[in-house]
Amino acid sequence: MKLAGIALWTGLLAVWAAAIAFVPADAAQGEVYRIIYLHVPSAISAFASCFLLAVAGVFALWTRNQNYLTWQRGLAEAGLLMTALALLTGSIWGKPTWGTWWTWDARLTTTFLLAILLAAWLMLHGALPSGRQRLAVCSGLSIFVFADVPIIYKSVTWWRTLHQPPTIIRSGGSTMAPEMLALLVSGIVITAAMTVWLAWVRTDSLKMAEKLENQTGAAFE
Amino acid sequence: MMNNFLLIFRQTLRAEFADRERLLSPLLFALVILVMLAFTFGEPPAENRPAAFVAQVFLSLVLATQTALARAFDPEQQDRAFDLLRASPVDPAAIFMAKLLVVLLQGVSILVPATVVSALFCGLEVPGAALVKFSGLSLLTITGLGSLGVTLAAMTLKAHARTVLFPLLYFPLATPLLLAGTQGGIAIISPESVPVAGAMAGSWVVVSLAANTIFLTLGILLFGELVKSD
Repeated sequence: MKLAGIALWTGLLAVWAAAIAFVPADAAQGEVYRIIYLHVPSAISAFASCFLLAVAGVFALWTRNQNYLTWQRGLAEAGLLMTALALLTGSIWGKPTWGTWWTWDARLTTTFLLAILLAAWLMLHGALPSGRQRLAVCSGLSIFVFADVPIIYKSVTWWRTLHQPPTIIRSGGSTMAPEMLALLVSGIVITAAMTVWLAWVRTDSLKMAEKLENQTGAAFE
Repeated sequence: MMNNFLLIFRQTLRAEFADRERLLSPLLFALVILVMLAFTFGEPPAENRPAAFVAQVFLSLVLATQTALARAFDPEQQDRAFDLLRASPVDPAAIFMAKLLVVLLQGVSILVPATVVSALFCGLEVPGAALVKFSGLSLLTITGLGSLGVTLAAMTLKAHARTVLFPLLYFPLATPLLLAGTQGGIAIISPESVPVAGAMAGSWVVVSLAANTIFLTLGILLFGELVKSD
């Protein structure tokens, strides 16, 4: 796990370095566009963690294995982190480009709702006593949370928004220059893997904490 | 299952009618919202009337149903009736459907006066055919809100901060239904203001149907698990 972490961090730093130093500036936006190498991967990683959250939810309901609930917590935290990062970087990009830090645009609003849902998932997890019911409730909610992802994705085509329409996956091919696209796709893959790794590390530490809690409890009984 | 469903439905309806405050407060709340909006904004300009009408109906509907849904299981929790109900061999789906039907009735009892009052306040005359279509879309929205709300009410039943968690989960998850309701509603009520209004209304009905299917299916499938005791 440690080795995977080192490899992922190295890969991520390499992508960021390439984004700053090697790819050309955008013809229309200039240098400010470079933030997409952080913004787009974090947004897609947030979607990926929501998908995995729902998958873990289904498995938890199916097998009643508490490990899947611990995984869900790790994924919800990692997903919230990535959603917050996507909102923050989008906001930083929005100021020079749109002239405002925030606007109630459909894409921004639905992404903000995803952050609220993930935060609410974590709050609900903390508000329920541990046991079978918490597993069922949180796993059910995980499936509901994923329902927001297609809405975020389609928001730019369903409504007239400030946010640009899809530029990577679209009919007629991507509108990005090949070298920019290659780096962006690398960034997406590495950031998504990093999100899973973060969830994995967090899940491991949560399992360890649970074990310790059980042992301490047993020692006091 | 049908007999169980009818039995629980009658019982739930009786429990709701036993407390008039539970029935009346969401309706009064919806009317207060409409009156406040009318006082604040007055009669909207002619071109904004359809949008204002649709927005007012759905705003009052979603806020009023939220207050009803947040305490959907309160009557059953008194005297441990809910514990006895879930310990009985009754199919949990029957409990869910009975509760949903009661919520739907409550929703309709809010929707009808809210539609009339909102049309009056906006000074809008809605043609009959458009009103029928709008009512259909509103019913679809209420069904989705009800399915989601009953499921979330069951989810937060044992949570410490139920009053905070319920709206925190309900409003973001209700977004697709509300968007479909309002956007589709505007396309139905004011087709001249929306390009390709018929197709737009149809696509929003599909979005609402998809959200309804997700919420209803998950509600029926999960309800048993959500209310099972440890």
